[in-house]
Amino acid sequence: MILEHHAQASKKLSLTTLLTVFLCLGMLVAHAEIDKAKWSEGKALFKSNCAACHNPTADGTGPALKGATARWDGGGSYQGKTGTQWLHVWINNWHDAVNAKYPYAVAMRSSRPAEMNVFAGVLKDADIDNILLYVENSDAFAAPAAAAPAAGGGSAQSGGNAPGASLYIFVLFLIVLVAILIGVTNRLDQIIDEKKGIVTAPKTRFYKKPNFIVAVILVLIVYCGYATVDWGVHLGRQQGYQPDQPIKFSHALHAGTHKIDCQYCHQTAYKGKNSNIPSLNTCMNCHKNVSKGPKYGTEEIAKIYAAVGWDPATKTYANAASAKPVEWVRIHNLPDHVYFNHSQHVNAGKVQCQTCHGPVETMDQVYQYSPLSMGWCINCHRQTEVQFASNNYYSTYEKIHQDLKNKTIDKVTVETIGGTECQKCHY
Amino acid sequence: MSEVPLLISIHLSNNDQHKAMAEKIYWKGIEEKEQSEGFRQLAEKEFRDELPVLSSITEPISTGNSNRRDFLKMLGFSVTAAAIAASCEMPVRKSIPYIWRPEEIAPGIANFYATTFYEGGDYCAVLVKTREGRPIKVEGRNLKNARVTKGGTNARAQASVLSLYDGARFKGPKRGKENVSWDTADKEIGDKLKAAAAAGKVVLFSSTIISPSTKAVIEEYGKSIGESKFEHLVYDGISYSGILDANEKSFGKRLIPSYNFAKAKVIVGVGADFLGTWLSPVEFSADYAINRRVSDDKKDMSRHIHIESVPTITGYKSDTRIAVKPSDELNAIVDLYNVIVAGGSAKNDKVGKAAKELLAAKGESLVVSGSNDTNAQLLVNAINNALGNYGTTITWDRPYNTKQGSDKAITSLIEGLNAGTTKAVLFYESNPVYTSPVKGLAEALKKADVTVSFANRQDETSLATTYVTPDNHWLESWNDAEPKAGIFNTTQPTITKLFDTRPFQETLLKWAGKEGSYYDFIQKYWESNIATKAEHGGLFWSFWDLAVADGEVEIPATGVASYKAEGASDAVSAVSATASSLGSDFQVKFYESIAIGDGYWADNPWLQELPDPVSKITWDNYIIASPKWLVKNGYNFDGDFKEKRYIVGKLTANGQTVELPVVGVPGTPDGTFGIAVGYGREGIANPELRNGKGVFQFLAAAKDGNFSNIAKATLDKTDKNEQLAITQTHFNITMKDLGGIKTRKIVKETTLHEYKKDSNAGNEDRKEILENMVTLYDKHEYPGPHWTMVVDLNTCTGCGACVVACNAENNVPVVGKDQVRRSREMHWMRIDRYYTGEVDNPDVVFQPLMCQHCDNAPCENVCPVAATNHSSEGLNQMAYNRCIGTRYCANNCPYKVRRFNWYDYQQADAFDKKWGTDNNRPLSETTLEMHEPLTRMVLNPDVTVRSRGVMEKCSFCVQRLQGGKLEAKKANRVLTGLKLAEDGTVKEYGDIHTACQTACPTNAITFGDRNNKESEVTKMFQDERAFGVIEEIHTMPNVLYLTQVRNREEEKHYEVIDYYHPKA
Repeated sequence: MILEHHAQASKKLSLTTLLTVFLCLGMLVAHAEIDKAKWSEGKALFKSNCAACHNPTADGTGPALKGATARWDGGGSYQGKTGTQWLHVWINNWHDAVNAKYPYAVAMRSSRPAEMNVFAGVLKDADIDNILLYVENSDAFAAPAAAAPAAGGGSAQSGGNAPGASLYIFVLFLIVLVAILIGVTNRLDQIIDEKKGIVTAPKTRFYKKPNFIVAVILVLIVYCGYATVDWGVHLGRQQGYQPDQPIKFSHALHAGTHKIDCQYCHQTAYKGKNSNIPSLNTCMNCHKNVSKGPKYGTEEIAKIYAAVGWDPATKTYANAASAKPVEWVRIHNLPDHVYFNHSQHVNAGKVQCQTCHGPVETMDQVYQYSPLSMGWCINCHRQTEVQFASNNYYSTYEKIHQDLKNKTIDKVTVETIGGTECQKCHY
Repeated sequence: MSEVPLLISIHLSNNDQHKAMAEKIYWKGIEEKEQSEGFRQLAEKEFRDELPVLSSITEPISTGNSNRRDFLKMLGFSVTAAAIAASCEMPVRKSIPYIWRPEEIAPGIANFYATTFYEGGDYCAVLVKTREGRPIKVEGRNLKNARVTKGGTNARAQASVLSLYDGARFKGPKRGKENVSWDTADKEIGDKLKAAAAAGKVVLFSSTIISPSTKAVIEEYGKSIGESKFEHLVYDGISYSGILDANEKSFGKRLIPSYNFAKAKVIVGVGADFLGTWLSPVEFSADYAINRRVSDDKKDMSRHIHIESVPTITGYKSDTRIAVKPSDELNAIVDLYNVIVAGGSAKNDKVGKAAKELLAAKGESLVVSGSNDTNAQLLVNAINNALGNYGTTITWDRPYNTKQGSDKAITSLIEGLNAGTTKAVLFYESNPVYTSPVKGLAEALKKADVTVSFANRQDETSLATTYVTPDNHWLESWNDAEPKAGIFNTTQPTITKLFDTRPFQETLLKWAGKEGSYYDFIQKYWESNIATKAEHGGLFWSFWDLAVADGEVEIPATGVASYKAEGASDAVSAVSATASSLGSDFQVKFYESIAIGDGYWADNPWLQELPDPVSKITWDNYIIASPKWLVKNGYNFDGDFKEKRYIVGKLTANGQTVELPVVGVPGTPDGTFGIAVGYGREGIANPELRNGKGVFQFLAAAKDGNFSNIAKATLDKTDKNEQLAITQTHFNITMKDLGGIKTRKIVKETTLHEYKKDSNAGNEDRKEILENMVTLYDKHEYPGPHWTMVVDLNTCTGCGACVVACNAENNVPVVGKDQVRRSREMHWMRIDRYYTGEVDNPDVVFQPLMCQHCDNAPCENVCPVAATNHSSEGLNQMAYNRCIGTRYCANNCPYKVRRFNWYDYQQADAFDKKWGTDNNRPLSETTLEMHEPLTRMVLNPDVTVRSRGVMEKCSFCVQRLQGGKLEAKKANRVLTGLKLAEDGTVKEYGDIHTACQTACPTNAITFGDRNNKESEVTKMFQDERAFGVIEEIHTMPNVLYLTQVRNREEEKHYEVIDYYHPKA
């Protein structure tokens, strides 16, 4: 968008004042040198390979990278290679640069104890150039505002039952209107009768009629009975439960905007029974560098630092002695007599996290999306097909394979292989 | 019911008698054999106890316990409770992740660590399962890394994890009753030890130590105070002094050689319970089983003759059991010696015959004796030497380190204290105040300047010492072990220490003025002493890491010893003299029970509640006597059946007396009494675990200075009686018709002779049973796996390891003595012990019985809420949350394997624990202990903790089935099953094993998928020995048993029940 803006600005060049011409020309020249495709590629590569330790403009685990090319060039040529070429060597495998005793590399190594990864085989020379292009000009093409999806996620949830409510109000309004109209016509009939001189016995009001009272009582009994049973069935269920958490962590930002894979943090969902709440060292993989968030600034991230004992000033775990784990409020609870295994569903069953947890990537504050009731589990087990053909485990189910072949069944659901039996979940 | 019981003889008609001739009659207890009044009354009942609800209905309101007011109270309470429960919001639950998650720990995924169990004199190579950093289960290590115990475990190793969470453990160091800090303790004890060393001697008193590093630490400490000022005394409660002293004379080494039961064709045991308690029972069971397995390919097995007085599982397992008095165990050894070594004749024909069989199997035979008499063991050495067994079935290449104690240590300690030369005593892994047969230790300890106990739980000795500096539990410790020469094991911690305790070795190093952790010390020791001798890549670190990961390394065996016939000829007269000094009347033998050992395990509720394999009694010790003698002398044999009240006898021996209930155990010869040591531990904090009486004081030093566990005795009847929680006739399935025993096909056995002729021997009727099966029900379909189990009755020794393993795996609660007595024990599997033949010396069959997962399960049809039903994998499922507790299923189960939760034994409900009490019958203290958060840490998080009022039973370890299947699915492969080697040992483990299967030291239990044609169970299902228990009722059980085969000449054993009547 900004690029377009500059393009338009350049079209309007002739119409502006001389001062503007100079300013705009300056910007145009600066940006004209940057190939956007290469820059974008560099950005992507930087995010996936370097961002865990480096920030273009700020010191993190590794140094700020803006100006690195110039600094290395300043190191001078050595063994027939320029500074920039030595930088390539360093990025590929920093040991080579140090072992070759390139002075700047040796100085870098001695000033920073942290070891850098080796990227030989991961990054090609062109990739490194693109990354360097990006880090030197990281602010060249500012990204569009990122808040849109997050905001959308928040509103979708609150507006959910609005149409239902207005419909009820409208129907209620109609009923009241009808009642008033009936009252008015009755009264008019009465007046006409009085004028005509017909004397009628005073009418029993409809709500005093026995038939009506019996009907109302019956309706009430049925309704109350239904409500009680329904309430009893839902006792202990927490669909929609959305507690406040000690840190205002936003899944919309992390999983939505930044598209971090769910299992980057909740990695044991793939391996075992529980999906872990990430330990703080997982947070610190990124938050050593990212100390400011888009919404709450440093306030919420500071809570992580306090919990893990990180001193942002010295960038060390100086306060590790006072570290204290974060007490998250657990949202998804199952009764003790239910055994649920994440890896069974995520790994063996290839079920998406969102199938049960809902659109977490749009949730600023997570809530329980599904009822987690037994009926809900069973329904899914009846409808969901297992990885029958693709998973070798099922190759021993000879009869079912035969049935599929003979077309006596058309699909193999969890239920077909016994997935609705008691001791699949209760033991 | 309360008067002296009357023996009812059953008059069989001629027809019945004929039938009895044709078929063996099995019985679980004498009360059943004799069909005592109490037994029959109870058998008539639908439920053992009256239903409490009936009294409130039948009794008039004026006198009844419940009335309208109670009804209104209950109504009011339930309405209020419902209202409160409803108005409460759901509790807020927290999820607290690690700050730094250790790489190997993922919540919900179990970790296994190879480590080494050595507690109370028992060694076992184990894997410990931890969940979220908590050890919850002990398993045997795989064969490759368990060279001694071969992957098996025993009940004690299985139960040891519970002791970790014992609330009675010391929370920190103590001076008397006062808690002190480690700094204070170190300073005060350090000063006092220095002063004591200046004035006299410092003694370290311990049980056998098999850790080479610990021994090095002790040496360091000894050096630090001067070697002349320090003495290390080793004493074991269960003494092996006799055999050690004998070996010193015969071989010049005070050690015990390796016994190889797998190579022995003829085994003669004389009072040595080598399958249960003697020396290295887990190893011996595994080896013994190799030669006991038979199949169509190998129709041969070892011959086992056992000569013993007090019955043990080893005797019960033998082919020929010769029941003798304790003194005759000695005479039998003399007889064997006379025939085998001296070439003479035997006084006893049966023993003489055994000797001839041994001679016929020279070099492939084995004689072992459990006697603590040095001379008797000298004779045994001479016998084995004459049989050429040294070098074949007995080898000196890797002698045992697990028994090194000397009985003289205890006298030496007391003498030193009384003489004033010993000024300080340190007690490590030893409780001599309880286990000492010599009195006066506690008083003598008062004369020392300082006494310290390193015990981690309160015991008699720690109560008598001035300081307690508690050691870590073994699951919290680094250590090493050398159970046999050249086989080194590592012990690694599986949890951070729970309390303010410190490893014994670290404490000792500190007192020796050496800083540094014991872990560093072990590593240094291994680097300079073990790594140098072992084969490895050259880097110590990789060697050490591998050793810790595997748990075991081996260095080449070097031991040699040659036999000298020194003292053997004199021993004959000495042993005969000892035997005749015991007289010909009554004798008592003090034996070690499988569960409790020398008393070390008395504070473990799982072991207390494990029914003794022989007597089936829990929670107590008692006097074992011959049933015939018992009845003749007016004792009751069935404990007034329901009440289980046994008449108390006063036993006098060696000038000591003890009063204990007298119990008749079939197979006990006339004139023999037996009492288990290890009970009556007054030092245990929980009074319920002090049950029974201590009898160590009965052991008297013989001429060789070793304590003899047999003595001349008299037994006087008292007018007291005592309740015993005996389970032998609980959940009885042997009889169907009242008034007579009707044979049911429960256990089947044959002899090797018959088996060689026909693989079907003993199991001939099965064909007919299978042919005649008709059913109205539809057959279940099993599209995937069909889980089944096979138990080989030939190799099951009844040791009980599986029962405790099941408790640990499946959160089976401890219910306490009173509840067990009421037939409410919750064990998912029981080991039924069937007698057949004469009361004096019956044949015995052990049969582990768990839910049989019938294809036609009678329990499933009667559940009104379908809480128990059939799965597509052949499981008989039990949904606890659906169960409403009608108990119809238990009543309809022909195997009686269902258990009902009469109380909330493990606090499954959120309500207060006092809810577990009613009718002034509170839950036992021990059960309430299981409600404590600390003890509940032992629970398996994958298994529901059952609440009050629901039924439960064996699930075939469904959590393991599901887990194993999931691993296969994740790896995108088919399930792998167990693979057995040709000799029946485990060749390769598969994905799924049940807890009982892995615990079994003899691999008697095999589990697998019957739909897999290649699986071991499928092969076993086709074995002609396979049969189902009472399958004639067409339950189609998924647990099959393999016929027991006895290797003896006698043809098929037809016999009429030998009824005997009390003779006036």
